Amino acid sequence: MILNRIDIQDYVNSILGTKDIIIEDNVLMSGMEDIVNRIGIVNPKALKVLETPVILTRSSSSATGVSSFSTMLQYVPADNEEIKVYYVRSKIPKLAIRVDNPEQIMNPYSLLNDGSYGKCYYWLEGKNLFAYPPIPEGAEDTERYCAEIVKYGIEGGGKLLWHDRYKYPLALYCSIFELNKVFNAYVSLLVNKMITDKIPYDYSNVEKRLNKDDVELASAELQKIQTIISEQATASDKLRVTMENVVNILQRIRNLRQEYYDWFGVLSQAPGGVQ
Amino acid sequence: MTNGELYALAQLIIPELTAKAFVQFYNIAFEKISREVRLRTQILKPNNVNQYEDLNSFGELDIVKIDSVKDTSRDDVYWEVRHRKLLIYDSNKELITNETVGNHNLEIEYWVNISGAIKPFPTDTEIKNDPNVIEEWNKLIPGTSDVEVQLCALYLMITELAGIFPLEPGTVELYANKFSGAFQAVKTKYNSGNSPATITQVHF
Repeated sequence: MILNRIDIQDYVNSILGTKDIIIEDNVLMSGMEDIVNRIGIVNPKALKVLETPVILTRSSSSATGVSSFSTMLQYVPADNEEIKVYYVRSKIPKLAIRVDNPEQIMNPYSLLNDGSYGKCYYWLEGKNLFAYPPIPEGAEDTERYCAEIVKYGIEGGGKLLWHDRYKYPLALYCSIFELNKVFNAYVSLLVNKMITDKIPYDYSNVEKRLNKDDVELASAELQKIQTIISEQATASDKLRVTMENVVNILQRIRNLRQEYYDWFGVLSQAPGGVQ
Repeated sequence: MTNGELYALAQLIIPELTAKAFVQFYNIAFEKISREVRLRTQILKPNNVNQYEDLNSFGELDIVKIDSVKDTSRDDVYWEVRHRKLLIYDSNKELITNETVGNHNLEIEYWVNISGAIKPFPTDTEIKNDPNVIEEWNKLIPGTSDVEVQLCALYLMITELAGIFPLEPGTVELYANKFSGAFQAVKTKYNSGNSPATITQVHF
């Protein structure tokens, strides 16, 4: 099923009980990245559904200085994980082999080098994947390297390069992000009301702390505020209601965050990903 | 099986195996087997002593064992090996020398080891000069065409490759066991199976 930004927005609105939340591209991207990295830790096999065939392009490796074919990876698998890289000629794919030291296979006298007839290899250099031996100039029409790598992102027209299976954690991530924004704004509002109500409090560093956009710092601030307000008999009902709302938002964030973590916990126990 | 068929089979077990490595390790395995199993024997008909005396340069092949020495035209001859030298005596137990070797029709049957069962894989230059050279290499039959022996060498090769190419311990153990069974079978077939003494008529 093809996913769109609208699908995620609708999901987020239904989780938060809102109607008008618009998710920005950078939030979607950071959500995807976070989910992919977490899945990579708990169950790398579950990333298979996000694999997309990509054709490698001609480039030069900085380690070897040799012309080869490469592509940039969004997700770098662990050392013991294989990536399916194929050398395709006349539509027949030949699986390339991962090597850690490309020098070993480039030596023409090496037992690992059968010359132009031989095996094809690939290696990782940071986030780049390189394949060897290079395809002769002008032969790209009939020969190519193709890798099945994890790819995600936002394409034209709001179409997401994402799998339906991971729609829920992405919506959870975006929901938490949206609530975080609201939470910080509410804490600021609460502080402003306290100032209006002339509640004695150390306001000197509040703005500085709240400007950091850090929910944990803001929630620590909230705890201090809760203590102060509960001790102040003069605090207005409006102030107390606002405080209750902020506390509820914080609780909601914590619940959603727990749900988000639990989802990866379930995934870690599934053999090939969640069904 | 041909070189190409054997290499394809080896690649099924070890996908990382290159043709060059296959040639090297298959040849090592095959040579080991050929030293234990009488896969190939040769007959030398010498006309001077120098041709057979030194076992280190015997007929340009590595000798495993002398099977028999006979004089096809005369009486029995006697022979012994001393310090890697083959000494042949006539029926009077006189040492045969260059002067007397012409009086005999000596035939020495000996067992040789096979050190280069598979021809080296063509180099890039050879491939450029002759594009059919790979096809020819693929079609060659390595060492012996007996599939039982070929598989035995293949199993041994896989155990030799363990630790060099990525192989699961279970796979190595499986092929070590397979080799053990196949090796016994080829030993029986070549070392004793041809002996008429082992063929017994059974009456019911």
